[in-house]
Amino acid sequence: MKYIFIAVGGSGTKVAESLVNLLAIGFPTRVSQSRTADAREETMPEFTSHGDTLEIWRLDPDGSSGAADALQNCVDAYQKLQGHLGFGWSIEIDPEIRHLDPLRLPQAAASDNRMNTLEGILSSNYGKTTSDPFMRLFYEPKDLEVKIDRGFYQKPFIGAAIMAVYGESLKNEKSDGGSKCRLNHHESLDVRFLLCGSLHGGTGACGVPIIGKYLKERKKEKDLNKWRLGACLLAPYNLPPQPPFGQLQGDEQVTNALIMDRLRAYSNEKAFAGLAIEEQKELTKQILLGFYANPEDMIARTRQGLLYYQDHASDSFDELYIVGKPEPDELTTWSNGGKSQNNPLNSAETVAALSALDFFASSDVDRKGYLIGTSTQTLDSHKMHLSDLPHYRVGGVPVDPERAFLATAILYHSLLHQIPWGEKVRSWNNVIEGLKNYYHDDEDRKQTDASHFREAAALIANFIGATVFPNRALGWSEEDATILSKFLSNDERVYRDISRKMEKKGFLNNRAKEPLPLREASIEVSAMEFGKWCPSGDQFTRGAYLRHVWSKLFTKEQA
Amino acid sequence: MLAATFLLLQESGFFSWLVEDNEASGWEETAQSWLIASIVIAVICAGLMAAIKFVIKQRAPNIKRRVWSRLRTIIFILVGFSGVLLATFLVWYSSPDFVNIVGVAGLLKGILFSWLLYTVGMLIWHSFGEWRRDIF
Repeated sequence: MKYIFIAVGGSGTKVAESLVNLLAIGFPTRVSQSRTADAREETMPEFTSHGDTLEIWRLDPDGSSGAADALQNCVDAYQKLQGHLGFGWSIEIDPEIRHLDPLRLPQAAASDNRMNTLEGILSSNYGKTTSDPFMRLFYEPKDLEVKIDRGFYQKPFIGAAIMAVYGESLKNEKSDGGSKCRLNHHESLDVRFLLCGSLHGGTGACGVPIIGKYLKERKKEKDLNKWRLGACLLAPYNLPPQPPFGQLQGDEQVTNALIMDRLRAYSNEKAFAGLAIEEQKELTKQILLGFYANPEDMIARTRQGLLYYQDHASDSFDELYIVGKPEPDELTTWSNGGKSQNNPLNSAETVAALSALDFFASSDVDRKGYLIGTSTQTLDSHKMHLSDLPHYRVGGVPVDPERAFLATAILYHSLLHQIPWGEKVRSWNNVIEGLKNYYHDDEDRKQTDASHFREAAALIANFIGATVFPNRALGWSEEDATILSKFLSNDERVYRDISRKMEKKGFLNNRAKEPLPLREASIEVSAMEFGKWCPSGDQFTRGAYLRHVWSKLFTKEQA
Repeated sequence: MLAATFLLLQESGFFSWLVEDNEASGWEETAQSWLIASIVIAVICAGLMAAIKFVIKQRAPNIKRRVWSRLRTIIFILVGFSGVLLATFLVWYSSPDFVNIVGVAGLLKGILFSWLLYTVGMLIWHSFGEWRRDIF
């Protein structure tokens, strides 16, 4: 199955990053059959994402956003992980994030659509027509003149017109967007498109419904029954701080002197760091004119966005997910796009990424409508536990995210600290028969694999940390991170207790002494049981081995 | 078969080599008993050490503790040498015939012989199954 995640704007990009993290951690999207290496050669259902492919499209006029850099780094780390494990661990992600820049529009002449303002696009004389009379009717001059190459500043009414033009351009496979989307190519494929963006922002609020509508029309027009369209909408979950200075009030006019005055006073602020003087001036002007995400407007904009979906846009999607927080987390750094817009991941983005997995993994193709996950009464959205995360279904079986995290953490510990990598493989015994038979006295191969496993495990630990550790991501409890970090530790004094719990119970009893708990989920597994798990020889790759063990851990009965 | 083997050993002068005083009356029977004692001690010690190893391995709580390196296995076998030595000495000391006829030189030869048999026994134990990987 092919999945296409269309990240619209900054929030969508952060959700894409979270989704890549979850897939790297091992979250499954499908169930396949795997052969075990034991004498009975049984087949067992294996929870995996291997065999599927994911493409990420990023629809955003901001080509240099910090969120985009973070996503690219995350995808690069994912590719490294795949490189260390070979195939078999997880889904294939296209390393090229396709940047769909709505400002890169078709040109009849070289001068068409070159100016990155609303006026520059709508009145560029493209096709020898002008929309000037209509523009003046709907927009104020400042809306038409503001530069929009950093986003639409929480003003979807500016972005909507651009997105509509861009949506039209996708029909032409020779246009910038059309050549990146390759929709003609995708028409013959079984594809699930999930669009994700915020309800309260600029790019997400206008991009998701317009591109969704365009894809829906294409699906209907060409009778593409193998396409499924979904959307995940994010209500406010982050609260940006106020800008360094306020916007002008009343009839005050923006002048060069005023801009220079503000710049002198505030150019040391983080938001101005790394910008050329012209960019600093432009940013100052944007703040003075009120072109920034105003936290006080967020709720009202979300309400307007939801009304718009109710009346005009919800029909475009087979499934619609809505994710939000009752109390948004407060950000500490103000940014108006560009490199400085590099917020940490948020637990709401992980919930949204799980919505994407739910949509991708769903086997019920007739499922339609709104999906609003409800939380427990005890949920503290500033300090979420992994047990608060919504479950999704793979092959009809519910996937508990807390259990998935726990399975990966145990896998990490077992891989690095329960396998006797330091001993010569010839001395490995029948307790670890599968791996022993695979290496078959090939010490070099064992050493190479051990090195790759160590590198891969470090990357997986990093993915876990980036997703749920409160020192790196917002909205998580310290408690789960503390437990997970013990599993992910390489200090024997820290992981000793885990090893002790994994010891076998008695002389002839190979079961574990104690279960390994996270908060609500727990898995009981002994080192001896773990040692017996191995895929059959012809299927062996490092990734396939890890996936086999992960699936065994994940499907173990709750202790 | 056993009788023929003993006859062969007797004629080869092995019994005479095994005891210090080969002029005392009944020295041949004493030498034969000493040989049998050495064999029994070696076999029992090899069996006992194998049983101890089985228990240690079975009690190992995790994979790492269950895996024995070649060095550890050799050290374990060497530890068994002391058991053989002690048992041989006790048997030798418990019988005046052994002390008087076999003597100290015979004791040392008996110990060497028991060690040899014990080593062969332990190597045979380690020739099959999971244990083969511990040493070969």
